[in-house]
Amino acid sequence: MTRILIAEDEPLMRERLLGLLEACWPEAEVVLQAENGNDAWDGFLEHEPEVVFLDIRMPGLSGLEVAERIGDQAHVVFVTAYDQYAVDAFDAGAVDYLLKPVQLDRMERAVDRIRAKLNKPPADLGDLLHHLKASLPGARSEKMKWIKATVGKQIRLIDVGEVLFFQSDTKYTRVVLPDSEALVRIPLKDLLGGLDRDRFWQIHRGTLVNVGAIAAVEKLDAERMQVLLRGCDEKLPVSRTFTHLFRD
Amino acid sequence: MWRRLVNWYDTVENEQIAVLERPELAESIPSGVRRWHARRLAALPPLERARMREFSLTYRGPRLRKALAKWAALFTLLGVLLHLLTGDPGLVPAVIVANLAGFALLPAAVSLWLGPSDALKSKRAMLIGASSGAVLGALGSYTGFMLAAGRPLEAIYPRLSQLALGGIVAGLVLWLPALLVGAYRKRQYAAQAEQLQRDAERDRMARELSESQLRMLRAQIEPHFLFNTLGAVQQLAADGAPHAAALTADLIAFLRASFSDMRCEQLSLKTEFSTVESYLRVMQARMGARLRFELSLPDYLAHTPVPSMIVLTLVENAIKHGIEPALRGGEIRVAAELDGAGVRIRVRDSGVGMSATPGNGAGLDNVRRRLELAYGLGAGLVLRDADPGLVAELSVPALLKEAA
Repeated sequence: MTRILIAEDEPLMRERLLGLLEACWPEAEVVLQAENGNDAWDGFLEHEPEVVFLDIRMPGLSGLEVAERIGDQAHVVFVTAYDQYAVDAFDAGAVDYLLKPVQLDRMERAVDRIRAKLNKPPADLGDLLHHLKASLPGARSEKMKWIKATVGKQIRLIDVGEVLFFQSDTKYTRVVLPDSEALVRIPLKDLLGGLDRDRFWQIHRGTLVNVGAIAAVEKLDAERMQVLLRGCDEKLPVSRTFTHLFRD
Repeated sequence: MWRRLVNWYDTVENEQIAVLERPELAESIPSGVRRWHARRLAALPPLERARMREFSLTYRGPRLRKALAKWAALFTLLGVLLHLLTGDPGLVPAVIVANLAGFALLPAAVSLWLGPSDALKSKRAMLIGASSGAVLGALGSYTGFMLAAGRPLEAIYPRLSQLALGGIVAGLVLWLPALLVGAYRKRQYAAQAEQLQRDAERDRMARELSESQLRMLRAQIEPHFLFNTLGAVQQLAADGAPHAAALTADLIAFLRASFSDMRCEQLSLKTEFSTVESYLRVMQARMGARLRFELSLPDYLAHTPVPSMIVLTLVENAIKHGIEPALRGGEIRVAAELDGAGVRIRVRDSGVGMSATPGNGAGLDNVRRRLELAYGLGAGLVLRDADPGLVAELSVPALLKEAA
């Protein structure tokens, strides 16, 4: 059974996408309806769906940013009310998209196209999206420099550059430094967008590691790897989705 | 011969009209007297050029001939009067002299009247021109009479100084009123130019106002808003939900208000708040629990006038750059209150705040421009970071500046 993820911030539009998908593709299963980009990406890592419907304008990570992270690991269909430059680029790059409000015949056509492609590897939209992201209004280019963490009665200001890694701990995030660690109240998925992707690599749904702190990567078997750090004894597992980061 | 003369005149006239309209053409005219003349026309102030062009366009062809005939009749009459009053120098010569002098002075008078700037540029040249013209005219006429009467030309010598003196006096007599008339016309032109400039400025303000109103309207009914709202309506209707009718009603109220507000320069706060409410209800239907809002307008401010769509634009900004990008949405509070001699309107959102929302300058610039057009420097817009979110604070005088 094909597994689908829907990401759309407006509840009625989400309902609409869901209803149309049930009508056009009854044998597929919608595994998650995300209401923002951060949940969409986190949900993608959790459920590993084959097909993702992404609204372009969402709180948190934009649809384009989520698609960039997904890379070639799922078939992506963009949904937009009116982003002409994006639509033009999608047309030029043969990328699937739907215009809101989505109408039944359009959804049928999109589903037919995706089903025809399901057996082939998904296209990698990296370059196209990298280009488009910059032109999306409201795109955040500013990255966090400091993180506020409560330690006892104190609020510590942590320089992001000193962090070895971030690790998800239910509703909190562990911030690990060479000599200490702190807990912040923000879930990891909501920290992602504010951190420089070239500096902090996500190696697991629950782990972001400072590239500068990586000492070595250990292969455990054909599938599994773990990261060894400088100045810290903890070993961080790399999930299958991210092993490509360390392949040559 | 006559045909060629007429053709030549037409060419020169067209050339002159073209230069009056587009002064840069002066340089393309073949060098010589014609170019020299064209350059002088080109150097006139725009208003004088425009009047001169109107004049040239009016007095050409049959109308020109008719006007010239009238002037000829007038000069002839003056010649006859001169003869009757002085008995000298015979009827025919008097008429000829009157016509010659009249037609010599007429173009000068016309160009002085229409383009005083050029004539007044050098008062000395004007005086020399008038005097030498008068001397030459007198000399010419006298010589003519002597020849016509068959008398020897030598008889002129004893009277030469007399003639020259008479010419210079005549020049002076022409020069002084010409100076006065020229100065008067110049002042008249200046006043006209000033009036035109004032009119243009008022037109520009009016145009800018309607442009900025249009920009605001366009921002409100932009495609994202319309398509997403219609999608929500369609979904509710497909589910048979009773909210479909309510959302449609709010959308209609909002669109209706936007279109009619756009045509008003100012509105009562009550009307503006009700448009804001329709908008927020539409957004609430779409965003669900992610948007909460509260409006508060005291009764005594209900009829206070404000520039149309200003509060609405601030609320839209709060949604677009504050609440929509916030993961968990937030709340918008809009409140008006009396503050000293003015009214303060606060739009507060608990969204992502200023630092996280780039690119919201255009809407605010528009609001600031509208405020300036309506109140001059008497109004202000301040944005402050709130924790969490942003406050936009609008201060306006309780009364609008009188429309100019």
